[in-house]
Parts: sequence; C-alpha cells; structure tokens
Amino acid sequence: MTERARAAELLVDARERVYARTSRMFLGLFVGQWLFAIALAAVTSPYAFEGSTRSVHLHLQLAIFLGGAINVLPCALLVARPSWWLTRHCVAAVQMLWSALLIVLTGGRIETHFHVFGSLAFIAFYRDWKLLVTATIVVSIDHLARGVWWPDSVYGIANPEWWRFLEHAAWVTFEDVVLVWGCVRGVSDLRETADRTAEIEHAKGRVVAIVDERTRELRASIEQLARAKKLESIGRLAAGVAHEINTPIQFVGDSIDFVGHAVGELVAAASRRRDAFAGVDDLEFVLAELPRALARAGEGVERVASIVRSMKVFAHPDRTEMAHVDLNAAIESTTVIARNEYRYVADLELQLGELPPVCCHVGEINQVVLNMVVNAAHAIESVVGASGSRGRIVVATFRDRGDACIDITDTGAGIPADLRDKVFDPFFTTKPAGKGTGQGLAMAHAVVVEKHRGSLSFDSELGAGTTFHIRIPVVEQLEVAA
Amino acid sequence: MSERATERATDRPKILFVDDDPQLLAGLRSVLRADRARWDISFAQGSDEALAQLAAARYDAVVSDMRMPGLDGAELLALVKQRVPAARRVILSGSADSDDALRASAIADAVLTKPCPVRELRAANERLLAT
Repeated sequence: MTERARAAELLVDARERVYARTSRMFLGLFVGQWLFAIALAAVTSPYAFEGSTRSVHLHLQLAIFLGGAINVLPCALLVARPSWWLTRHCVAAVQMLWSALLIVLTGGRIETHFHVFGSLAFIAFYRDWKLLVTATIVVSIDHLARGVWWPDSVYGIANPEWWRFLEHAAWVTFEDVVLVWGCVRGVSDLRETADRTAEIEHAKGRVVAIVDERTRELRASIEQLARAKKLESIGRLAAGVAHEINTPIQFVGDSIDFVGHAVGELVAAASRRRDAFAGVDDLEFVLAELPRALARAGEGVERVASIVRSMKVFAHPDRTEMAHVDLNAAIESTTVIARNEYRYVADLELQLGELPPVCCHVGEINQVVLNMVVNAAHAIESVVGASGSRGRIVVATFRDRGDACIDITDTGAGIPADLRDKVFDPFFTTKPAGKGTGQGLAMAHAVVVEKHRGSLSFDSELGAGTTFHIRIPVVEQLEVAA
Repeated sequence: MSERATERATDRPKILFVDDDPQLLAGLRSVLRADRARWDISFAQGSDEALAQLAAARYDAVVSDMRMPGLDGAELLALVKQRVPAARRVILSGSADSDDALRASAIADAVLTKPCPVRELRAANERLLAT
C-alpha cells in the first residue's frame, strides 16, 4: 500500500472514530433532554382546572409524547449505525427540534433560544460542516412556520414582525461561520495526523525491511565464513595428512605393481613343471583370482589417492598465475570430457552467452564444471534409472553486471530440504560407496568462493531438478589491464 | 649403500633415488626391477647418504623427495646442480604445500607428485635422459 493510500485510510478511520464518539454523546443528550423537558413541564406547567375537571397541562403532554416521538428515529439510528451520514443529519435536525420544543415549553422565553446556539456547537463536534446547514435550515423553517401560526411559542409575544425569523437566522448563521471554520480546521488536523502517522509507518516499514535485509546478508556471510573456516581447517589437515598418506600410497602402489609382475613371471615359470602347484587344491580359483585381487588392490589405492588429491585443493590458495580465458571454450571442452558420464541418461544442451575473458584458474574452473555435470548426470540417473527415458542437462553462461555466470541445470531428483545445508560440506555424499567421495561440491565451493571470490548457490525443487549458479567476478580483469 | 658396491659401472644411465622413507625406496626398487636392463638405479636414504653417493659416482639423474630431515629436496638438488651440472634433477614429492611446489619447480627439471604411477615415473626419466 502506498503512503498516500494509507494516509487516506487512516483519515477515514479517524473521522469514523469522531462520528462514533459524538454519536454516543448525542444518544445521552437526547435521553437527557427528554427527561429534562418532562421535569420542566411538570414543574412549570402544573395541572390546570377546566371547569369541574382537571387535566394534565398540554406542555407536559408535549414533553412526554412529542419529545419521545422525535427521539425515536435518531436514537434508533444512533444505536444501529452511529457513524452513518444520514444518522448525523437526522441528529442535527432533531437536535434543532429539541430547541424548538424547549422554547415552546418555556413559553417562548428568549433565554431558551440559547439552547439553539449550544446545540449547534454540539453538532459541530462531528467536524462535519454540512450538518450545520441541515440544522440551520430546520431551525429557520421552525421559526418561520411558528412565527406565522403560533408566534407566542417562539418569540413569547403574539404579534412579532414578520422578519423576526430572519433576525434569528442571521445570528445562527453568524455562529455557523465560526463553527464551519472550526469543523474544517478539525478535519485538517485529523488529515495532518493521518499523513504523519502514515509517514511514520512507512518509514518504520522501510527501516524494518532494511534491517531484515541486512540481517539476512549478515547471516549469509556468517554462514559463508563458517564454511570457509571449516574448509580451511580441513585444508590444513589435508596438507598435513597428504604428505603422510602419499608416501605409503606410493610404495603400496609400487609394491602391488611389482607383485603383479612377479606373480605373473613365477606362475609362467612354474606352470612348465607338471607338479609345481600339487599342494594347492583350488588351483584354478587361485590362478583366476590372483590378477583380480591385484587389480582390486590397485583400484583401492587409486581411490585413496584421488581423495587425497582432491583434498589438496583446499590446502592453499594457488600461487600459480591466473590467466584470462574464454570460459565458453573451456566449458565446451569440459562437457566433451564429461560426455561419458551423462550420455546414457541425459542430453546436454549448451546455452553459451557472450562473456568477456575471465581471469581465473581455468583448470580448477573446468574441474568445478565437470563435477557439476557429473553430479547432474548422477541426479538424473537416480530418477530415470534403467527406464530408458532421458533427462536434460543445461549449461548456460551469461554476464550479469560484474559477474560471469554459469548455470548448470538438471532434471534430476532435486535436493531434499534437510540436506540443503550440507551439500557443500567435505565428505558429504548421498552417492553409493565408491561412486562419490563427497569432495566434488566442497571442492567447487573452495575454488569458486575462496579462490575466485565468486559465489556458488543453488535452487532445487524436489522431483523437478536442481540448478547450480556459479558466479565469477570479471572485475579483476580491469586491474590487470590497468 | 650395498648397491653401489655390487653394481658394476656400466654405460647404462645411472639414476639415484633419494627418500627418507626406506619403505618407499624398497617399493621403487621392486617396481623398477623391470628396468634393470636399461637403467643403473641406486637408492639413498636421506640427503647425507645421497651426497656421499654423488661424490663417489657420476649420476645422470637424481630423483629426490622434497621433505627430508637435514637438507630437503630443493636444497639437495641445488647442490647437485652445483656439483654435477649435467645430471637431470627430478622432485618426487608428497607435499601439498605450494611453497614446496614453487621451490621444487625452481630447481628441478620435472616435479612429480606422490602417488606417482610407475609408468609416469618411467616416462619422466625416459624424457629427461633422452635430452
């Protein structure tokens, strides 16, 4: 809602409150006036003898019945719809009739005319100048009509001048001018308050929105920092452990290699003698299994080695030079390399937009893209399985302000909400043992965020797929160029 | 080491492997057995032993670990460059430290990382010894 609309709404509310408050007052006033009129008539107009009978004075009857009658409609309206425009006009008119009735009951005493002026002031409490018009018309008609047919009851004399009603109306108009000015001022005060309230609300809303946004940003950067710290400590650990692990892997691998060759030679040499393996009762199995066992051991060593290799990426920021590269070309060749991973389960589409040369470690970015495409293929494979249907992987590049962006979208299973916090954690994987080391996305995070000062995020919808967003700033290019 | 005493001087290229871990040297010895016909391979456990062997014979190539007690791989190869300028220098390092990598690549003709499959080790030696 705009500030102006809100101010208009607040003004309407404020005026409604004024109407309701004033209406409550009038409800009391009407009942009070009625009781007062009855008491007045009872005191000042006692029983009169009419021959042998006596009857209640006309004034008392007027007070009770006419007073009650004129109260019925406005009181009903005041109770049912206290702030309706018609209620207000009805109140204004009837309040003038009360002035008239009280003037009648006091025999046209000029002092009772003060009730007219007091009533106008009360009506002005509504801060609605139009009510004063209604009231003025009613009081003028009353004075005019009674001045003609029953002048005693209004001026207290039997033969007033014909223009007496005009004199009264003029004084009423004089008060109206003051009161109309008061009503208009009152409304403009309400409007000013409403404007200011809306302004404050709006400013408060803006402040809250800004605080929310800052809080979100802060929280995100705290998370980022925590993740970076985690990766850094893993990196330190990896650096320390890598050397210790790599040496034994080297000699385990070498020894397996040697054993393989040696066993081959020995078996070849021995099999020339008929009884060479006489003591071995499952010779066939042993001979068949030996090369397989060695291959298994070799594969195991290679797996450990690949984990250690990928962990090394976290260890230290690379001090090798970054270079300006055509990311689109790099992505094209990377997706060619990745073809074996996705060709059976998905079609890959490249949507390469225009990119400036980006300053980066291209080998690492290639590795990141490769990991993402392989992940995408695995995500699709988990959905399509062996059904023969195919998924779709889209690799799109585009420039967004100072960033080169790479979006990698798959039509895979999506990432369940409870795992979304963990996907960038090292060693977190949902893939079956042997298929993923849990390093791919952690490594991607280290490369994109820590080394290239970029950002890495994703959107995922369960059952529909996932899009990873890689952003790498291209601004560094300017520094190099300068 | 014993190898030096038992092996005759031949016209086969002489390669010296240096590492502080005897197991690693043993692994290399076993796997490079296949190359015994074309290369004369020796092993030194640590830089001190390596320097002693370098003083006693002329080597065509030295393949050294990076992190060793005493002189490390880069320092050792610096001495090799000074004393036997013709010898090829190779680092075979398990370190992930980029400082190490920088220092190694400054002095060595080739930098290999552990674990290094034997075919790569062979290929590197072949390439360097051919030039």
